[in-house]
Amino acid sequence: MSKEKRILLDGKEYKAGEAIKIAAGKSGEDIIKIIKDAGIKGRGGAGFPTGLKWSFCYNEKDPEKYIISNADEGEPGTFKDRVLLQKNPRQHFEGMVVGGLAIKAAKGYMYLRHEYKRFVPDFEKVLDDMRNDNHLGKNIMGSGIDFDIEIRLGSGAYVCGDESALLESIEGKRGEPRNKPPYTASQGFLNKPTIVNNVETWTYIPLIISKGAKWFKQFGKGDNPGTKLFSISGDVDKPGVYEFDKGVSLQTVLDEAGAKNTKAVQVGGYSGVLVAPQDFNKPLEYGPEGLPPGGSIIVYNNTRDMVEVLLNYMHFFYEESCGQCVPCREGTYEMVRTLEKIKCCEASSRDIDKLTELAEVMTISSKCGLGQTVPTPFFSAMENFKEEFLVRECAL
Amino acid sequence: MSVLSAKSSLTERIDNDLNKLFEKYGTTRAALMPILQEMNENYNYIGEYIIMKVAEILDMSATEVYGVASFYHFLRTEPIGDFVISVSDCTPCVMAGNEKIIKVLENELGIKLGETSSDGKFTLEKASCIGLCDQAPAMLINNDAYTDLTPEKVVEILKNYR
Repeated sequence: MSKEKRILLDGKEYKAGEAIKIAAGKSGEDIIKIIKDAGIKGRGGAGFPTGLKWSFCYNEKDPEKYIISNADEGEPGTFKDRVLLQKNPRQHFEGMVVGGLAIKAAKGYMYLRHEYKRFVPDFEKVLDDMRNDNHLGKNIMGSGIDFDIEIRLGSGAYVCGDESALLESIEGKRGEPRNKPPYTASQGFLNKPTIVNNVETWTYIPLIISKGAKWFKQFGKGDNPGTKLFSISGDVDKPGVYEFDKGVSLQTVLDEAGAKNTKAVQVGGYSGVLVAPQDFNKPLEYGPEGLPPGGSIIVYNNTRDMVEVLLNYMHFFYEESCGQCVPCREGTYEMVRTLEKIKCCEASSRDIDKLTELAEVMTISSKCGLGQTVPTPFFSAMENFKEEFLVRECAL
Repeated sequence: MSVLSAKSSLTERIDNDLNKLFEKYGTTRAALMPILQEMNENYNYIGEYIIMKVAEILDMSATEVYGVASFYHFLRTEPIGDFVISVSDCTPCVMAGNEKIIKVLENELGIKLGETSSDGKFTLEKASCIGLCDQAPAMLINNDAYTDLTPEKVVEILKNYR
């Protein structure tokens, strides 16, 4: 029997305006309590409890606050937000309005990656419809709160998926990540308290408000309630976006998508882990035994060359490093250089040892998530496929 | 028309466009990105004159404006083809044969990856993942997406841009 769920993907549970109407009649504290009780964690990948994030922002004294939707879906292998936004953009925007009502935000921004610019006219139309229904604009549904949403485009910088870099970009600056703390909940857009959530998180909000925390918690497992979207691509029969209960095992996902003769799976995007078959039964969930649950799953069958795969990743990171801090800027360059050497069968174990040392330095000393996670796929490749890096068939 | 008057009519056009954009987005720093994005779209790239003008109105230094423009891949500070073909280079697209697609494009356009055709019409690039891995191989031509590409399909698509 199929274990797939279609709560978010079908959109049948959603009634336009229902959540806004409920939220407009509640205090900010009450709205946030529902989100907290539901126990939803951010769907972008970091998994921070959404209700807690909102309450931090709510409790800030500065009255000028902002709502941001991170639609800068740039992690290779990820396309769930695109599918979600194509299917039901209104549900996503309604989630942002609920957030706006909860913290009495001055304004909301959707930061959409440049590569999705073709959807902007559709989104603008949805926003106009919402304005006509008083779901945006002045005194939303009698709440006494004015709130509107503007779409801002990225211009092709992966690092802007980092929320502080994203804010720099909307502020008209180079998308270079900020030092943290302070966190965006207290000093975000224009240094004002700001809630930044992923598209998938925002899209869940209206359902949680309309149907309640208890309804939400019937899906998923314990501390990780709800369903989660996964983008599945690579060597599978049926690539696409799938929805499962939180805590689903990687093997279940692979079976549903029709993966055969699988050698390795990249879980959590390029910055995630390269998983070998002995770990396919692990859950896609936070925790020491879990695999990164961000949602990107790229499948490699037994004809694929892991050196080429890792080299492709490192080329990407080298291109996308913002260049601000040395470990990331120089580290990604060195990764590419040594992997080229490995590819040409000219590297020894000493090169791999040096690369391992470099990877450790990058992990602890890079400024933002990009540089810190560049080595993650390298480490798992070393753990699972080291032999391929030592001896390549072309050398024999 | 003399070279000089042609030049001044271009700067006039830029001034006009910029004035409209300042009206639309304001003159705060947060207006910088949308203004640069629209100018890039209108003029194919963000040249020196645009940078100077934007800096003047937003009360920034020209180097700062250039710093922002040069940071982002899709903001161009050098002239580029009217149609920029960006072939996705994430591993799902590679495994689905994007090399073949690039080869066909190179042969059809008579240019190599990273080059612009001599008539200034096409630029061919590899791109970081464009979020269409479920329909690989995929590419963008300016803002339009093309998916599940085959060599034959590529040839057909190009006909619409000639």
